[in-house]
Amino acid sequence: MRPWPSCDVVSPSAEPGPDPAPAPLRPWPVIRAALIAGVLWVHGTLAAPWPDLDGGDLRYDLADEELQRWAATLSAVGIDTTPRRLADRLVAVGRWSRRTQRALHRPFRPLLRLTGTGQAWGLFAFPDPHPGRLTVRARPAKSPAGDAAPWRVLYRAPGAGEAWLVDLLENRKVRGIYDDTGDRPRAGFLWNRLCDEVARRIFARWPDLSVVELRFEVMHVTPPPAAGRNEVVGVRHRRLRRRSALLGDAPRGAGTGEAGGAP
Amino acid sequence: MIRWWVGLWDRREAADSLAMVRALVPWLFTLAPPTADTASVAFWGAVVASAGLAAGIATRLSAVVLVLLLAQLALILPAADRGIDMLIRNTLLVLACSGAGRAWSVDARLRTGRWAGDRRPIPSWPRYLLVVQLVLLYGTAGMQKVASSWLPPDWSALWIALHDPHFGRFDADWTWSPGMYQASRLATAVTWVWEWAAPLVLVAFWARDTEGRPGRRRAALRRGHILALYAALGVVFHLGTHLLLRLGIFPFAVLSLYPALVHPDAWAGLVTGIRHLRGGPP
Repeated sequence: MRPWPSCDVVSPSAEPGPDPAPAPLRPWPVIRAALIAGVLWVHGTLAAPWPDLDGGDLRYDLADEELQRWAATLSAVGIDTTPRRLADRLVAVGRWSRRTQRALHRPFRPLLRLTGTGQAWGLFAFPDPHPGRLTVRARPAKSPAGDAAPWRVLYRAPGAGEAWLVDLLENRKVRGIYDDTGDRPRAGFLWNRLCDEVARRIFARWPDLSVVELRFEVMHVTPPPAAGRNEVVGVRHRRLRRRSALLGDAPRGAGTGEAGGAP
Repeated sequence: MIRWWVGLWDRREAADSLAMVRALVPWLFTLAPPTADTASVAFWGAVVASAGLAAGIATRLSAVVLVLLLAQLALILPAADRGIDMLIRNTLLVLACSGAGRAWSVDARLRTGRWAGDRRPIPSWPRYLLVVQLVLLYGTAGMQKVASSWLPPDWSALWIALHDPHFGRFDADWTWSPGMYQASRLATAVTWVWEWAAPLVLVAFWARDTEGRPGRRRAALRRGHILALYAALGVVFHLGTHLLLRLGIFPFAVLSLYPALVHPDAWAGLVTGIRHLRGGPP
């Protein structure tokens, strides 16, 4: 037996070079080629970099900085504009683009949803110099001496803290839940439920802890020559979870309180 | 033009390249513990379908079942579904329509008595579609990189990503060194150019497809080994980002499509070359 037998049968159409007498087109290859053309059109237009944005997408520090830089660049080449006018123009184009895109793809949405297929590739299109560092801390209600107990850091991104918590929070699927939270002014819709679940697991593991805090420390990454280590410039989406509210007889929903001060 | 288009998608070739993609993709399904019952059923079903697809057991059925189960998992928790999951489902649907199970699979063994199959050609178009998928992935990602940090004179995009606690793998002093900054700027520029150059892959395919024809540009493209160079840069890019950034399965999932860049005949050449190096008969 040949260890890697070559392909013995080759379709005539695979041979390069002109065909002196082309055979008539058969129906199935024509249908297939038409279907593939349709698939390429749908996925090509899905992948196209549509400027899909609205006003909410511009309410970030990074968006402000980009608008100022681009307005300055455009003004320098003779296109007179300001960050405000540029933003208005972008939002107008973005809304038109979103409507057009939806209309184009509406007939294919059910199939794309059923199969979970599509195209959307940014791959760090806008690296954010104001990222959030997820930090999880916890503490008992009081120290043995009766004072307010100090916080104990259980997790700090990237990769520091209790091994099981690192594994949990850095699982790629779990990270997806808070991907859209750390660097944005509004928390993702699953942030509160993730906080509940993490707190439950911490309380189950350490009976002495009574309060868990999850928050993002807002950093400012400055490239050289002004580089300093990531400077903490604020805190974002802080959530406190108390054992009594989350696991006790407290009313339903009491464990999902909004950001608050120290307990 | 119509005749050329129909002929392009009617070609046939050996199944080796697609068989490799088939065997590589399912292993990227990570074993994360689900909590809800429905997710649990879908999860274990997907594990079974992944194993079936990788081994080439009821290949097409395994691929279709896996696509539907992964899509179901995505619907259960959309926030946890990443772009790379979508790319895997795209690939699985193409594999389901292909003859990837005709070589190096249990199906091939059962049908022909040989693991390598009977070597009858399979349609080439699924492999072409996977190549187009790679070009779309890289090319459109490049087009969207209009942030100042990706453009000269800044070129700080990878530096910023490296120091984003959500993505960076390290929080060490050496990542803040001036040398690291300059290296990251070079890598940023190379990445940007490399992604924008993705359509060159299609040009390289065209040059290879028409190699019997004359022309200096065609000859130069073939001599330049554009495809091999582009793929080599891709391997460096993905392994480099995996070492420095926490991107989950993304680097390896994309790399698992790379066998589609290789014409099946080249695998035979590779095996012959290895045997020659080991002193065996050519």
